[in-house]
Parts: sequence; structure tokens; C-alpha cells
Amino acid sequence: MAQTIGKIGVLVGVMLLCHTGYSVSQHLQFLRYNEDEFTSLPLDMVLEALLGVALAIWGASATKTFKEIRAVEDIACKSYESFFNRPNFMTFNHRGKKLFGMTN
Amino acid sequence: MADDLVLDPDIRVWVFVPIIIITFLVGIVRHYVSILLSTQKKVELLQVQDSQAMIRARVLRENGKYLPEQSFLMRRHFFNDEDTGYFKTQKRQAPAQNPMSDPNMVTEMLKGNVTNVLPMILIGGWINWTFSGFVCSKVPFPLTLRFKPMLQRGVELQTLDASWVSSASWYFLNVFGLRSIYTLVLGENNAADQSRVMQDQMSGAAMAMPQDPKAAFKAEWEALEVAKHSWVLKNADKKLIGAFQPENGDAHHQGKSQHAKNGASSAPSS
Amino acid sequence: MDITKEIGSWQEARDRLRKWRDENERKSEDVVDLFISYIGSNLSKLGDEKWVVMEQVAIASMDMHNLPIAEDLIMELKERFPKSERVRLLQIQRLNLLGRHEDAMKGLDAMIDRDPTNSVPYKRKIAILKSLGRTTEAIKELSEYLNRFMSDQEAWSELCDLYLSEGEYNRAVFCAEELVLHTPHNFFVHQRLGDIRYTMGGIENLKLALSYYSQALKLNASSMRSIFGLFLSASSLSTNPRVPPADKKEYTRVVTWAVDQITKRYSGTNVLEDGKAEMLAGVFGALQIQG
Repeated sequence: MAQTIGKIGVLVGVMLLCHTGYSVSQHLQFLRYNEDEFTSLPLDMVLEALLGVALAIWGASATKTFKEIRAVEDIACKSYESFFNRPNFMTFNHRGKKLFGMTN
Repeated sequence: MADDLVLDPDIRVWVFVPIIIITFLVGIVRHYVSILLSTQKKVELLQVQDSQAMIRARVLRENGKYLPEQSFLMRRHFFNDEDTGYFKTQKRQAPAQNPMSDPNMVTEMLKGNVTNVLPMILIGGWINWTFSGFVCSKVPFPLTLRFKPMLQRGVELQTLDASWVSSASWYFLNVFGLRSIYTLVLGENNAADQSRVMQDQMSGAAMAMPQDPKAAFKAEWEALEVAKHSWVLKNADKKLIGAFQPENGDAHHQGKSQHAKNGASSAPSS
Repeated sequence: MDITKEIGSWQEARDRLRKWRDENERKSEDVVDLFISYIGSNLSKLGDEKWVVMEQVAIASMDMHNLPIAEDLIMELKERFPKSERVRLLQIQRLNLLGRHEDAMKGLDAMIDRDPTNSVPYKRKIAILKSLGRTTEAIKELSEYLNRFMSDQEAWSELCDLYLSEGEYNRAVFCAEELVLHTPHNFFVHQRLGDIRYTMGGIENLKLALSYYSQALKLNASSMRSIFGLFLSASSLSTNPRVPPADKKEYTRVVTWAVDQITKRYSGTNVLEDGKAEMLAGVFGALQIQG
């Protein structure tokens, strides 16, 4: 559920950003035609851009589960058994023969 | 505004699309040819041994602080002792200076040329010869005049807007831009590559070895010789339970004879 | 635990197998179960991953002594990669399974002749010696191997176990230290070095054990084994008559800390209900070895 909301957040955020970009270019064109000096962007565009960025960041962080930054966290959830498993030194001469043996 | 230029749809069908298809197919053919030509590089046992010894010496230098001093010195002795040390007794020959004297090297270089440079020249020449002189596309944003030589190779028109792309430049854009398409088509590690990995064994040892083991040994010997040992786990228990006070740290370990020697240098750091 | 109930589709099974491959798990029984219930009928859907999965399942089924599956898979792999050394290794493992160790040895020797830089056949030869119970020979071979492949952690780890089984703790410590050098960020290696040092006994070794357990706990605070190790080594140090009294006080603090941690860890579970803390103390007493 949180994932879908996050994805929608990213989508909306990116769309807002695109729309801001488009409006800014329109605004600049408008200024050029009227031969006005560029002073600053209208407030609504700035707000829209900030909102878009915030939404996209929030959505992206809600969609993914993050990896722990410390390498130890990865090892900590491993078992002693799997850490000291050595596939190249594996031998088959063990109790498995009697337990599940199908080789006579 | 350069809206006044209208392109013939035939340019799209006979220039624009063919260039994409040609570059794409050439890329695929080149990929498979390079697989056909490539040979497994033979690694000598001695090279493997040397590279592994170097790795071990390096980790000793970097992580030796986790070992008690005696263990560290023992290992350093193994590598660096004047009479019996590994780096002193293992004599390696310096490699041949001229790569041309090694026939393997020459074939490798030739193969590299055949698969990379030759098609570039041939196809590039052919494209230039067949499709030159067309304006075939336009980038959807305005560009400055500096982009003209990059995007309009083969069409030297002063008045043409810089966002138009000529056919020769379109070819180059394709050559460099199709790389990710190849990974898409041929797979991440490239489908053919995958089975090649399966063909040969997974010798994780075949790491690249510096060209001259003698010099590398000498460098490692020097680095190891000056390496100082400081035991970082000293007081690890007290730090763990949060009762570590630096001033009584030394009194605790003074009974250890091996720490007496460089205790002065290791105490402040730990 | 039945793995086939936990997994619902062949995609999930594939992901699980991939995870186990990456994480170096043995889990042979589960691998074979997954193969029988999900993967076997969907092999062609795996694309190029198919071959790796087949290798994985072949090894697992040999581990389970399920020869029919293993033979089918090896046969198919052999057809696809007739010259592959990896498939050759599988065939040799099959020989081991059948008890034809001499033939297997010959095959491995031939592989070494073909490519002396491939480390796997050497290790398999040592594994055969080990499985035949010829530990001393295995140790000798493995030491020779390590002279050439000095940074092979798997081999150091194996040599450590072999020495432990022979009771040669000093040499086992050397191998364990080698592992610490290669992966100092891994708490398992510190913990294991602590285990060996503690087993060896003596004041110096116990102090070292204490240090390594502390390092292991620093790297992974949830390692129960390390807390117990810390407790045991600290408490035998604190009761040792040859340790100076000032140090004894320090070690007693470590003991108290460790007991606190352990009690905290067990509180909330029913192990420690009804004031059974004294029982825990009794357990601690029983765990200690007599110095």
C-alpha cells in the first residue's frame, strides 16, 4: 500500500517538475515578447518546483527499502553455518547417505 | 526560428532509419566476432602465486593491527626476513621489455584492432560516402553555434540553425548512443558472455598481476618493512562496557612484554 | 520446515535459489525440494540462469544422495558444455558419491595438469582426503596449496577446522588470524578467534579471547555467542589467582556488564520468568571450565 502511494508520489512529483519547467520557459518567452527585464520567477512556480522535488524524494524513499549503510548489518543476519560453509571442500560422505540415500 | 526548413519524408525512410539499423547491426556483428576471436588468456601458476602473496602482504599491512604483535611480527618475518623471507628468496625475472617480441601480445593487439578500429573506419567511410550531405534530423532544443561542427559534419552551411543534425553526425550519435540498447538486446553481461563464463572455470585467482613482479615485490617489501604495528584491540573490552579511561589504559597491559617495545607509539592512538 | 509450503510460485523459488547461491548457503534439502516442486518443470523459462541453477541443484542433489536427479542434470550440462571444466568437476563429485575415489583423484590430477592455476581441483582433492578420514594428509596437502594460493580464505578457514579437529590450537589460531586479516569487518572471524583462544586457556590467551569477543560485539552487538564468550573469559580471568587484584576488579566489571546484557536479552522471553535468574547464574557456573 505504502509502495503504491509512493509510486504515485514520484509520478506526481516528476509531473509537477516538468510542468514547472514548461511554465518557466513560457514565462521567459512572455517576458521576451513584452521586452521586459527578467527580475525573478513568480512565486507559484518556485513553490511548485519545491513541492515537486519534495514529493518525488518522499515517494522514492517510500517505494524502496533501503540497504543498511554499514556492511556489518549484512553479515549480522547471516548464520554461522552459512559463513563457514565452504562449497569447494564439500564432501558427501555424511549421514545424508543413510537419511535420504537413493544410491543404495 | 528555423521553421522554414521542411525535410523530405524520403530522407527519413532512406537515410535516417537505415543509419540506425546499420549501426545497430554492425554493433551486434562486432560483438559476436569479438567473442569468436577472443582466446582465454593463459595465466601462469607463478603469476597467481605472486599476486596472492602480494594480496596477503597488503592485508597484513592494512589489517595487521587486529593481530597481537607477535602474530604480526611472525608474518612479517615470513615475507621480509633477510635470509628466508618470501620477498627475498623468490627471484622473479623481469619481463621482456619489448611487447613486440612476444607473439601473443601482437596477436592480441591485432585482434583488438580488427574488432574495434577496422569496422569503425570501414563503416564510417561507407556511411560518409553513401549518406553524406543530408540534413536528416533536428534536436528539439536550441543550441549555440559551437555545436555546429559536432552536429553538422558534412553539411557546411553558415546560415543553418545549429539544432539541425546532418547524416554523418547522426551516424556518430548512433555509434555512441546505442551502447545501452546493446545491453538491452544482448543482456546485461551479454547473453553470449554468460555461456562463455560457464565454459571456463571460475578461477577467482586470475587477477591481474603487475607486469614486473620483481619491482612489485621490492615495493611491498619496503612498505612492510616500515609498517608499524599498533594493536587496536587493546582495551577493547573496557571500551565496550564504556569504562575506558585513557590514563589507566597502560597500567593494565604493562605485564605484556611485547607491548613494551612500541607501547609508547601505540598507546596514544588506542 | 517444509520449504515448498513457504514458496508459492516458480518465480519465488528462482529468487530464493539465487539468494542462496549469492549467500553461499548449503541448504541442499531445500534446494532439491524447490527443484522438484517448482523449478524442474519450468527450467526453460529461466533463460541463461538455467545452467547455473542446474549446477546448483546437481550439487545439492548429490549432497542429498539423490543420484537420479544429479545424473540427469549433469548429463544435460555435459551436452550443452562438452568441454567445460565446471561440468567436469560435477562429474568428479559424482564419482566421489559413488565411492570411486581413486578415479576421482585421477580426474582431478588431469584437471590440474590441464590448468595448474585453477584452484578448485586442488581443494577437491583435499576434500576427498578429508572425507576418507586421512586428516593428516589433508593438512599437509592444504598447507602446500596455501603456499601457492596464499589469499584463499576458504582454504584458510578449512585448514583452521582441520587443525582444530587434530587439537593443534596454536596452528588453528594462525589460520583464524589469517581470516581476520582478510575480513576484519566480519564479526564471525573475531568470534571464532576468541573461541579458539578461550579454549586454549592461560592468562595471555584469555586476555586475547576477551579482546576478540569485545571486537566481535562491537561489530555486531546482537551476537549472543560473543556475549557468553566475553562473560566466560572475563570470569575465568577474574577468578584466576595469578591475575593481579587491580586487574581482577576490571574483569569483574566486564563480567557484571556481560551478565546484565544476557539477562536483558532473555527478559521478556519465558526463559527467565518466575525469578529463574539464579538458575541462569547456575548455568554460568556450570559453563565455566576449570582453569
